[in-house]
Amino acid sequence: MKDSIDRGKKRLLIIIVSSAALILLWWAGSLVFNEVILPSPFTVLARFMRFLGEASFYQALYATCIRGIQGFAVSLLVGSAAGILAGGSRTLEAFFSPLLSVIKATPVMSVILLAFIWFRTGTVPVFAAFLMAFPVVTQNVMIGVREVHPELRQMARMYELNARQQFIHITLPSILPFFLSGAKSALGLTWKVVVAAEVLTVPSRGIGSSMQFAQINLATAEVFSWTVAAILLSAASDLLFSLVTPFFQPHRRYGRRHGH
Amino acid sequence: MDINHISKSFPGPSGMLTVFSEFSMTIPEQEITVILGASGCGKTTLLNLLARFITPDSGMITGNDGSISYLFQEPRLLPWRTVERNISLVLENHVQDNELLKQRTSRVLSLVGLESFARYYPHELSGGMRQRVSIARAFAFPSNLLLMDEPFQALDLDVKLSLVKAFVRSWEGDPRTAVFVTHDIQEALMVADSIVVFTPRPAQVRSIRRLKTPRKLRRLGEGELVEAEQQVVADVLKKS
Repeated sequence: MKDSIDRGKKRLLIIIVSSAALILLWWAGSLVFNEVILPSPFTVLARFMRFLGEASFYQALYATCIRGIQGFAVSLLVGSAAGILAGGSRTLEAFFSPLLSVIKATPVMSVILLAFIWFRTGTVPVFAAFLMAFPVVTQNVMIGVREVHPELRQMARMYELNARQQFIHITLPSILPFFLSGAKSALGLTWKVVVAAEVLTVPSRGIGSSMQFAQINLATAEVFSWTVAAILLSAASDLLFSLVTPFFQPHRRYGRRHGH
Repeated sequence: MDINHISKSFPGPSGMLTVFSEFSMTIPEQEITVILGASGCGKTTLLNLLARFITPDSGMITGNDGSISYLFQEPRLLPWRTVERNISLVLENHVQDNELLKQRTSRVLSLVGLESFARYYPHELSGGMRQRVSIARAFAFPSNLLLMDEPFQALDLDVKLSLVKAFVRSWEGDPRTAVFVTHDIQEALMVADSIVVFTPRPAQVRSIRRLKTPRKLRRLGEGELVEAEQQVVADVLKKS
């Protein structure tokens, strides 16, 4: 116990030192190159702080968030449904597998460019995020369905639980940890794809659109600041998941250490 | 419950493996029948046949229709449900009234001595306590037949004995036909109405020994159990 606390402290210390070294390296680089090539961390920080006082920053952030949440929500719905179906039936798994393989192998940019041909500007990031993220959810949920322990299934049949009860009380809770880890990866991917799609399609507001404008104007510090915003968005969603996960502790997979 | 001339073979690495050939026995109703035998003699196959998980190649079993409770080697509790909700799950389809459901749950829990752990999750309990919950669940479920596949295995002797006591208390509170498969002679002596020893494969009944001492009065190494133990040991060790 004490050892693990010490190890945790040591790890934290290394992380702080490493972060400081990165910023130092960035700062040293900014001394070598001019502000347009590589602005200093202080310039970026100052620009970012100025953002915090501007309404347009929040409007862009809001627009990106809404697109991300929309794409993410559809990914969760479609991904879970497909995952439950594919996990329950080898036939459906085989049926879905070419589609999932193709999507996984498709470059994000192809999806965005094609979606730009098919949809209005604002819809492109939502669609692209959905298409890239839902296979991640599907994959995880499918594994979750497969991992339901056969001992529990046999027990449920023995005690004459009906199909609905087996699904609600055994399958769904077994899936939950897999669903959460799939959702976490999917949300991380969503932000990256949404911002990329915004950069390419430039909807009226959005982190990606603003980044694109800043790049055209060679406002490098601003590009950096928008990047910081995108990173923070990702970090915030990771934090959200790490807050939610502990509530599902008893859902630890059956038979691992406990539950037996 | 009657088992009539059943045969059962499984494909093995060197041809078919005959577990039962023209096997017959009668299992008395409302009694605990303990089946002893060397490992691999077909004890678990018999339970699977009685549970209707598998069907015999020929012959038939009568009297095993209706609901069955099964005590597995592992407790098989749902980790995301509390003790009481693990038990109420198997009752839901049979008891509509919520009050009645609560009453039955707490009754079976008190018989295994866990009434104060109703709100605990399985991972908060010891292995022995989890197995007690599964005993409570088996008795909560309205069944005519209880099948037990070495449910007290891999536990310390004192834990095992207290589980055996919890089981006997539960059974006497709500007796039903029980078939208990084990290779532990002490468990058999504490629990059985009759002890049936199987021969090695293909299994036949080698001996049936009835114990007359009431379960509550039985002590290992005392009275009837001493002689019974010697005979059962001799039967188990006898070659063919």
